[in-house]
Amino acid sequence: MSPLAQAYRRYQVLKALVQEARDRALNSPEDPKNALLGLGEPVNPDELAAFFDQLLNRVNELGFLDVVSTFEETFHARVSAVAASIGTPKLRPAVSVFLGRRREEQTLRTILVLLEQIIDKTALAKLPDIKDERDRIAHGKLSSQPLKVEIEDTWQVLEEALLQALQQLT
Amino acid sequence: MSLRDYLQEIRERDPQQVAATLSQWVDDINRLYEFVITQLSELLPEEKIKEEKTKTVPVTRYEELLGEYQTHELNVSLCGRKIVFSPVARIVLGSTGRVDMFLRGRIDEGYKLLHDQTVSPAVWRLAKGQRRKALPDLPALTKETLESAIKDLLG
Repeated sequence: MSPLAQAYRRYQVLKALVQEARDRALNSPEDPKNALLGLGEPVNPDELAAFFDQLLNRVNELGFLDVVSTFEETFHARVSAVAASIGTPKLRPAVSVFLGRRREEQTLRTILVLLEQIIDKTALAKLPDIKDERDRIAHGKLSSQPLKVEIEDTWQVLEEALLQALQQLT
Repeated sequence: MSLRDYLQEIRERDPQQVAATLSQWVDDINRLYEFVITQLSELLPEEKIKEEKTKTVPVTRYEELLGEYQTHELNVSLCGRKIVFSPVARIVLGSTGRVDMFLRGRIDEGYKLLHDQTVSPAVWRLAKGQRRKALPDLPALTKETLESAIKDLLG
């Protein structure tokens, strides 16, 4: 299983656990375990439902950030390894520029700049939305809003972009 | 759209254009809510939907190109449960806006309402769960599809 698929799986597991807890709580609002949620006693069913909606939103955000950061980490590791095996003289100039950056400059932004120069437009289409969404969450602009991109789409789009990039280094 | 085109579009947006897009988006949301309330009032006259069962709740949204803005969620109470219409974003890939419709507490099992400006007049289209179909292949929001979706949510 690829690192991105593993990140998606982590998200699925966490989401399933929260859904299970949610179903138990909503089916038994009077359950003493619900006191752990800190919503007061007796728990108001409306507040309980809203609490789990917000919790699921937060799980989505964390799962999304995990997928994107896994992509950044994997991209750096895989591109560096494949480029090293190919040898610098055969690399495309854009790839050499990317690899010549300091590690901390190999961010999602600079990865997208590289991808724009080496992979096809179809694979690129959703990447700006993914970056916008990552920036929104990572920069603290949560605003309790649902994700506008699906995590299932995100990891598949990023996986495809990585695979294409690895084939286009020369 | 390539990243280069996308960045170019951002650079070319002037503040007035952004304000106009935002204003149009908020109007689109309000018109959607009016449609929902009207249709539900006709479907369920005894429920006094407009008078007693609907409530708007202010929410803040943030989009990279539009910045932070205020809009509203619509809550409709039916059978002791709340159906929520929650704006997500104006700028989403493949449509000109998205509002999620779900049962409070079941945010993960709802519908996406996608604004479609490729037809005139623009319509809202309904997508359940993960959207896979192209926008024109999704059913438009009508009294019938709204009724069916709400039955599904409450079921």
